[in-house]
Formats: sequence, C-alpha cells, structure tokens
Amino acid sequence: MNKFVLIILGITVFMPLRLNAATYQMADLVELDKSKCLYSVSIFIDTEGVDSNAADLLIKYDPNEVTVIDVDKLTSGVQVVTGIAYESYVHNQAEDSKGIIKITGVRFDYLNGRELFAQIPFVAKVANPSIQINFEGIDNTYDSNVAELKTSYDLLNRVENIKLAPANYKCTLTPAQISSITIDKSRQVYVPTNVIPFILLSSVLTCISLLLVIVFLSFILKRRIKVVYKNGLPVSGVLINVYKSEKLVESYVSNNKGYFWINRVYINSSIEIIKEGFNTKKYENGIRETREIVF
Amino acid sequence: MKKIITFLLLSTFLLNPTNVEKIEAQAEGEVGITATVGGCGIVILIKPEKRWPKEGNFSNKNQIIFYDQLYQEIFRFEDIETDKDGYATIDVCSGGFTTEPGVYSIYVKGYSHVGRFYIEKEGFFKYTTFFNLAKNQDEYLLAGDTLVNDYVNALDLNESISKLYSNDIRSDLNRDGIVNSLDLSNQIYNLHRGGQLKL
Repeated sequence: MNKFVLIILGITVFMPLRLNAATYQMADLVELDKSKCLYSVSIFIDTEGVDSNAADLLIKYDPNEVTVIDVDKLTSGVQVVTGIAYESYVHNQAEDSKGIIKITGVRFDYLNGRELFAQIPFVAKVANPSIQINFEGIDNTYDSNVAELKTSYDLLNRVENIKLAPANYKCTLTPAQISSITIDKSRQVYVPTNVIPFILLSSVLTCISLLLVIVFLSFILKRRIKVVYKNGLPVSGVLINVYKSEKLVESYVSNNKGYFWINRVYINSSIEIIKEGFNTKKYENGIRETREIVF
Repeated sequence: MKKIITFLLLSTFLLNPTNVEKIEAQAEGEVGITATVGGCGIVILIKPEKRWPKEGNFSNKNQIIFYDQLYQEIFRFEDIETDKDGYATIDVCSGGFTTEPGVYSIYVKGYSHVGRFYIEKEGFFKYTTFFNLAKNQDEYLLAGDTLVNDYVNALDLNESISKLYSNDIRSDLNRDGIVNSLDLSNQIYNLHRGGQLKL
C-alpha cells in the first residue's frame, strides 16, 4: 500500500517536470586533421520523451579563437553539417561577424528521443577555444529552442557544453592558411564514430532476422517433394498435377535434381505424379510432409 | 387595426428584456409609434492560440463579421485591435449600423490566423453586449496564415522561413518578438487548416 502511495506521489511530483524538458548536448570532439588544427564537435538533441516538430540551435563562438569551416560551397555564407534529428534544416548560417551559428530544423511528424542535430567543423586557433550552446534560461525564446509538437512552447531546459581543450595544443597556421581550409565531403562526420558499431550490429541483426523470417515462411508455406529412381538418382521432367474437388488447380515440373516445391495450401488436395514410361502415382489425400517418391 | 398594432408592439416589448432601449416618436396630432432597437456597444473577447508569454499577450488585429440566423451578413468591422488581454470595444452605431436584439453568428479572422466561426451568440439586448469568444483554449484562433488567404499551406511556411530570426509581426505567431522554430512549429501543426466560413 505504501509503495502504491509513493508511486502515485512520484508520478504527481515528476509529471510537471517532464512537460518542460529537452536538452542540447555537446559531445564527440573529433580531430579531423591535426596539421590543419581542424576539429569537429557534435551537438545532440534529447527531447526526453516529449514530441518536438521544430528546434533552433544557437551556438556562440569567439571568431578570434575559432574559424567555422563551410561545408556547403554551393550555398552563400558558412554552413555547418546538419544531423538527422529533423527532416529539413530550413536555416543554417554561421555569422562570423557576430560569432553566432543559427540552425533551425523542422519535422512534419515529430522527434521523440536523442538524435544528432548538427556537427560543427572548426579550426581551433587557441587551446580551449570558446564555442558554447546559447541558452539564456527556461522562459527565454531568443536563445536555442526545442518546440513542443502540440503547444509550440519551448521545451529546452538544459544544455551541456564540453571543454574543447586538446592537450599541449598549439596552432601555428596563419590567417591566410586558415581561410584556405576546406573540408572534403568524405571527411564530414555525419555519424559519430562511437555509434558505428551499434549501427553495424543492428544492421546484421536485422539481416539475420529477415533471413529467419524468409526461411520460416518458406517452411510453413511450402512442402518439398523429391522424385528419384529406385537407384536413388533424381528424376527430372516429372509432372505433378494438383486437383481440388477434381479440378486441376496447379501443375509443377521437377527440376534436374528431382525436386518440386508445392504450396502448402494444396496439401489436402489430390496429387497426381506423372512420368512417361512409368505408372502414374496418385495421392488422394495429398502429401502432408516433405517426402521422397520413388519410381 | 390600431388594436392589432398595439398588441404586436406590446408583445414585442414584453418578450424582450427591459434593458432594451425604447424609442418613442410622437408628433402632435399623430398616432404614437413605438420601436425597439438593440444596443450599440460591443465588448468582444478574442484570443489567438499559443502566445508566449502565455498571459497578457493576446493583442491582435482582427476582421469581425456579424451574421444573422439566416447567415446574412449584418455588419463587418476591419482591423479591430484587441488589447493585451484580448478585449476590443466597438461602437456599432457610430459606424452607421443599427442593431436588433437576437441571436447572431460571428466570424473572426485574426492577423495571421485562419477564420473562425462562432455560432448562436445572443446579443444587443442591453446597450453593451459582451461576446466571449475565448471561453476555453478550443475557441482560440488558429495561427499560421501568414499569407492571409485563410488557409495554412507550404506558401505560408515558405513566407515564415524567409522571415526567420527577424521580428516580422505577421510571421511572429507567438508574438515573443522573434520569428523562430516556435512559430514554425505552430504553423506546421496547423498545416492544411483553413477558415471556417462556408456559407
């Protein structure tokens, strides 16, 4: 009884907290090219069980310490790598003069869970450069936002920034060298490396599951009949006619290994096995099991 | 004949509440005529949905059309501005309209909202009638019609996206002062919703 009361109390106390809960998390600092002082950091969004159909991510940085690398030369301005959290990223601009990156993603269904929102490739000009997710407070809507699907209110209540401080770091590149840095499409890190084993594992498991389903379906939907001579050699060119209520519904011809696969739906029908030069074999009640027929 | 007219006028008077204004015109030597007219004042409460902050942020510009029970347009008002709490006051008579006590349907279209039809609203029995069109959140105006064609679709979305991170008032659906994902979220949620005026 006490437990029951505690559960009810727990639900009552924590339910309102869950209504306003979403986070942005900075993670996975990757060194893309040491000689170019080139790094990438990922930003994950976690809606913590609530549905969201749109979000803004604002990242503030110090242009004296960081140069954001453009990943889309076809679009004007500087764009960062967008993730898979939202269907469409309708705004993606780094404004170097203001030291701010603004990214807006929308979905026509909804996101519920933790997904990659964006990745920021950058040149770190100094050790521990300043790059931070902009979050001014729970009720502030001018900073980063995570929109709740039904109310369109801002769910964001916490952000996690990480220290971007490579050990014994020193970048000796000149401004001219930095501005000439481009990022190869193949070097863009769309999926964090620590997730790859899980993706591979889940792909393999999916394939195995599919294979098992196919085998199982073949097994329950088909019956194999093998036709052989008395000496055990397979008989090809054997015709099987399946009758249902004395009406011919299907015919099969054995392959060169003497096999037929007949549909299980016909196992209760009358089956006739014909081979020229041999007596025709008739099975009035069909063939219920996989079996070998000897001529 | 005189008795019939008197009876009709008397019954009309008795059936209506006593607050209805009675106008009498009688010239010397003529038969007295009594007519009933409704009040002139309207106080109307209209709230747009999903505003941020949630309270004290309901100001909006609206088109308001009154229909009689046969859905004939009686009068319309353009650009009626509601205050921060959603209230607007209209003097119907100053616009040259006359009113009659009765039951009306009211159509309201907000600044970037699809039109909404409120039916069976009694009014004009007193000098000032209060029409409460925001009794609960289900009655709030649906936002997203940034192109003002009374329907929310990709064109409206495109318009709002082009105004992202600006303070464009038409696309700033929640009126927090900036067009951002919270406004797009509202618009996407209302995609393919249209006005309710189908007479």
